[in-house]
Amino acid sequence: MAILEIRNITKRFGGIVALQEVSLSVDKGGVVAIIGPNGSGKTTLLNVITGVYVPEEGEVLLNGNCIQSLSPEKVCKVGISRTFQNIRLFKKLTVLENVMIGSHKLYKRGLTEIIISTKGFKQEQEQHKKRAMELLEFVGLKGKEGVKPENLPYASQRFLEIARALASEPQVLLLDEPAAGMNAVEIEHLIELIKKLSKTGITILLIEHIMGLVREVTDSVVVLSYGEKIAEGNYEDIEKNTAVIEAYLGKGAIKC
Amino acid sequence: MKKYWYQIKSKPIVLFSLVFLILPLFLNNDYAVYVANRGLANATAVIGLILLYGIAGQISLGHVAFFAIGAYSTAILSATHSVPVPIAMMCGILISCIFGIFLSIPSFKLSGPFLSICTVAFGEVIRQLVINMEWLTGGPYGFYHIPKLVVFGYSISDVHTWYYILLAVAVLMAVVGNRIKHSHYGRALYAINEDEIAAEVMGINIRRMKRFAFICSSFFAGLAGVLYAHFAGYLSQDLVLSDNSYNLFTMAVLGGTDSILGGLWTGVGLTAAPEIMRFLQVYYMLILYFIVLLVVLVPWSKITKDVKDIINYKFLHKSKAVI
Repeated sequence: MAILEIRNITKRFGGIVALQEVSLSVDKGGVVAIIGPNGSGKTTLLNVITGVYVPEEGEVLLNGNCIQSLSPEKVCKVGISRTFQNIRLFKKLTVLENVMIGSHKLYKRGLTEIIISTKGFKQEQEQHKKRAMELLEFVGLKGKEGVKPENLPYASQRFLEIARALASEPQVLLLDEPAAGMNAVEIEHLIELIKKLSKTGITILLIEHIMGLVREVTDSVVVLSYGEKIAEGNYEDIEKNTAVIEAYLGKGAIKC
Repeated sequence: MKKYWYQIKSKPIVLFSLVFLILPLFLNNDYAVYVANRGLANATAVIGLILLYGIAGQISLGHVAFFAIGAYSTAILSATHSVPVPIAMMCGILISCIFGIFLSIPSFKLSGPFLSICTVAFGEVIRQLVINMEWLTGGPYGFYHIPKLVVFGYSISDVHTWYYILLAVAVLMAVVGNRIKHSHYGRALYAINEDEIAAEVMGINIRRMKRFAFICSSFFAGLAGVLYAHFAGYLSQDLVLSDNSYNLFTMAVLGGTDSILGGLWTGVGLTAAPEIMRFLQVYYMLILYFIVLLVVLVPWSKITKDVKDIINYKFLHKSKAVI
């Protein structure tokens, strides 16, 4: 059963058509990759799903409910969480606090309880702290809780973003080029992480340029080019697809 | 005793309260205590500004307007309409908060210098209203005969009693401010300060948090204002001068922008500075703001870190080889 379904999405920026009638569906617990050359509209699609952009046409369905007109904040609340291509961590907060931001929507205690500092609020705070520590351990950042994110290596910042996204307990996790800037060892770690996440039942939609990772983790691959979907299928089929090779390497590539 | 000391989480607040509890012993006249009172009222207002500017990143350069709204509201209600003073004080704070909600509306669309211009305009509007609505505020002549606060039949007029009330309020509000800062509300405010898109994608309602920041800061400023009205006993239009707004802002920045305790110290310190530096006569502004520039421009945290490193290197790790 499809948990996330995108139907005929069209998004224009003035005269430029960033996405044209793109449709795709992601099954529950599945891992789907969106690939495509630069400027093909992959990040735009993610922005449409998370509500940062409102599409001109088409609809986005989560569990059968329309979500394309919701604000990003509401989209997060219904259970879609994401990471960013250009890392957007909160620099003034520590690593632990960054992860705790992710669970903002799960807090139930109000302002009066904060001011009086009731037992319930303290317990809730502790509970979220514990959960954040677990997540940090899960992504391999144990022992870095008190560090400012800018002092972390680039790859660790990406893992931290994943931890922050996971803290909101999403049903669907969107990863925007998670492996960008990582070395081979870190990519191995990321592959394992995605596999583990997929086993826990979280649906993952990722954008990636590193094909090794895409081959390892995905159930199906969607290829975008100039805002249009040109192919869909499992990795082996996509690898041989002439339209895809053409989009990446040009027409001459097929002849030789 | 030692055991209890370790249990106290916020030692700086305890230090602040202890210093200011014994301070009146060294103040030899009533005017000095009065200045300290004003300092504590300013410090309370600065806490709000720190939450708004230092943590949530929303600039307010007309902040003294909230202070004045609180002060004039309680004065008008209690003196002209003879409302009981405690109720008038609460109404003053409430009215200040309502104006805070109004000022939060432009912040949804504006940011940075544009928002700061908007808040300057707000401050000027309030100042002009105070001056021109003479029938209500006394205008340039000032507002006199504000009733004293009466608690359980005791009329509080002694400057020393007010000192301790204001100290208690300032410390209590610092605790409240710190609790907000270290809760999920505080973290959300930091988040909207740094990256609105990332914050929104993390499930934070930006408008709600901005409104919350403005209400918070107008609450603190309004609270300081109502207390000021009743301990000073009169209000003049000097109170609403934009200089005061800039002073409040300087206090907030000087204390370390997001440090509430720093704001308390600078709030009292900068209010008392003109009095302490009176012997410098006309040069006091020059020297005071030279000190302010020194504090703001010099990277103190780096210097202290370097000094610590040097000390560690010289005295603690003498035997270790340095690579």
